[in-house]
Amino acid sequence: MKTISNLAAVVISIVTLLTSCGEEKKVRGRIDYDAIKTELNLNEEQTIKFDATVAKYEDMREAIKADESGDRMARMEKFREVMKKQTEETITFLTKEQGAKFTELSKKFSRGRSGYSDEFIAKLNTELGLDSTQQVMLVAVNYAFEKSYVNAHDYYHGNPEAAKEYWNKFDVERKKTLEKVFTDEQFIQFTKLAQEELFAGEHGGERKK
Amino acid sequence: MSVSHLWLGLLSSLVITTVCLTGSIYTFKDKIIDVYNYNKVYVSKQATPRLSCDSISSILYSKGYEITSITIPSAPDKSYKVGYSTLASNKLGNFYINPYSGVILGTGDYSLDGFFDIILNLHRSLLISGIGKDIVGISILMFVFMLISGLVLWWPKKWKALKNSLKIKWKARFYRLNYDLHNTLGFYSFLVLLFIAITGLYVSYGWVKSGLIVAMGGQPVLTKETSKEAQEEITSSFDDMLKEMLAVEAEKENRKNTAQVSLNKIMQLTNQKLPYSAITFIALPTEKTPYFIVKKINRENWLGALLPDIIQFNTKGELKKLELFSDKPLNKQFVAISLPLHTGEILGWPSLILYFIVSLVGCSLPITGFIIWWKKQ
Repeated sequence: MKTISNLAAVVISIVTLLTSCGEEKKVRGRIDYDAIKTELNLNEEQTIKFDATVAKYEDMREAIKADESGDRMARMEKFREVMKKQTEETITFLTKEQGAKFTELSKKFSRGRSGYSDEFIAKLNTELGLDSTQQVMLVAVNYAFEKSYVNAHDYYHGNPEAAKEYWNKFDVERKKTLEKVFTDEQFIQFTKLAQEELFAGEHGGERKK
Repeated sequence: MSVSHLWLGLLSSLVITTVCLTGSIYTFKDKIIDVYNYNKVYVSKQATPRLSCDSISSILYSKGYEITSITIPSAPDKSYKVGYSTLASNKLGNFYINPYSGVILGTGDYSLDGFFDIILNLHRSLLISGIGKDIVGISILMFVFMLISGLVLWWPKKWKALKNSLKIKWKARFYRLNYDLHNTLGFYSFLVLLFIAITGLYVSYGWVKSGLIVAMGGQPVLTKETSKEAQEEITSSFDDMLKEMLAVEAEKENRKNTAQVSLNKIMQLTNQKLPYSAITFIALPTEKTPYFIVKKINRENWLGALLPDIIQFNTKGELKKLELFSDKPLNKQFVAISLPLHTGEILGWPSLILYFIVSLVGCSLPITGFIIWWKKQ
């Protein structure tokens, strides 16, 4: 009987642990649009438009999933583009405050880019005064970084520490290559500008605020 | 041994039952979704040959769609799955096409995806963020121990007793039947359950992943302590990738001045290099990826396993990359198919059914084990 009581205690503890930890039930890979609607406090008209937009862009995500050729990086890029378009369309029927909040939420829910963003590359092109060959090299080096990191996914999947190690290692390689592409002055300036380009989570979603 | 088998079993029973049950359901996700979309996924097999990719492309173009990807099944009773972009507004979508008539059958209904996401999250982390994955991982470690200790406990002390240990006495009383179900089914499913559990641990724990990859001749998962040799391999892989990306950038320029070869030509070139009948996925070139990327699932091996070969062509139809599964070193082959090895998709239906049955046995072991323990109280 004592053993049964002990067992019951263990089971109750486990169940308590499971239920207490289970408050955050965001299903992986899916955005909880109901929670977003509540957070944005949409009116009836906005809700109808919001639901229609969600349906439209969910279809587009399904279309991306239909490409089963296995280019993970191309697929992630398409997902980001869809999220960007969805955000642009959604904020047209939201108030300024709601729009700002939704933009923030969509950033939180969409997977970020592990490499330099297009905006950062444009900034480097301008501020470093890169010539056309250097610009092409910068894009190629950044893609090599991104693709190398994404291709290593099977090794770091679900292991943020390993993901960080891979990201940092490929970042070292990226910078070593760019050092050869840029002049000394350009590279010094680049190093300063790239200081904030750090590892931002396994999928790049927690990029710097 | 029996005490630890008992207590670890009792401790992990809830989690193991959940993980095995959800695993056995999730195994059939794609098949269930196909059946759910039966009228779109399946077509009547016809005596006439299926339409070529170019014919499908022309039909869709006339209706305002441009193909972005196409999946061509090897089975003649399955429809083509096409990813498209609308010519009018670049809206992305996908639908199934009748391969004999070119009729659009409609978009798949993916409303079950949400259900399967929940099943998958239960399987991976019991729907608990953070600690859930660790609870599952530790429970699976316990399960591996229990499988091995269970085999030791099952092992008959005398040769003559072996025959009884391999049979279930279906007409016996409940507790005896339960005992047989635990012991005998546990024995028969031992190897497959152990394999599923270890490939699951491979996903959960970096050290298991590293151990398996190193055992197969590869480099361990990168850590701060990783050897110089492993670091150098990564540097070398980055250099290779850079060469590839420079070629891609050059291709983007060339593409502007070149007419794109047809899908039929790409199929012909693919079949020359990969001369076997198989399900084929083609992703068409985009602004950022100026290559046709073709994946064929090769089943021409002694087990009939589904092994992916990938081939890339530029828009002129020149071969740019050929990645044959058979050319990869063992550790990279394992990494490439670790997921279908874990889920049972690797051999198609036979392994799916085997995994389903074995997972249900795995689900029953904590229950029958609990009843054995209960009876002893």
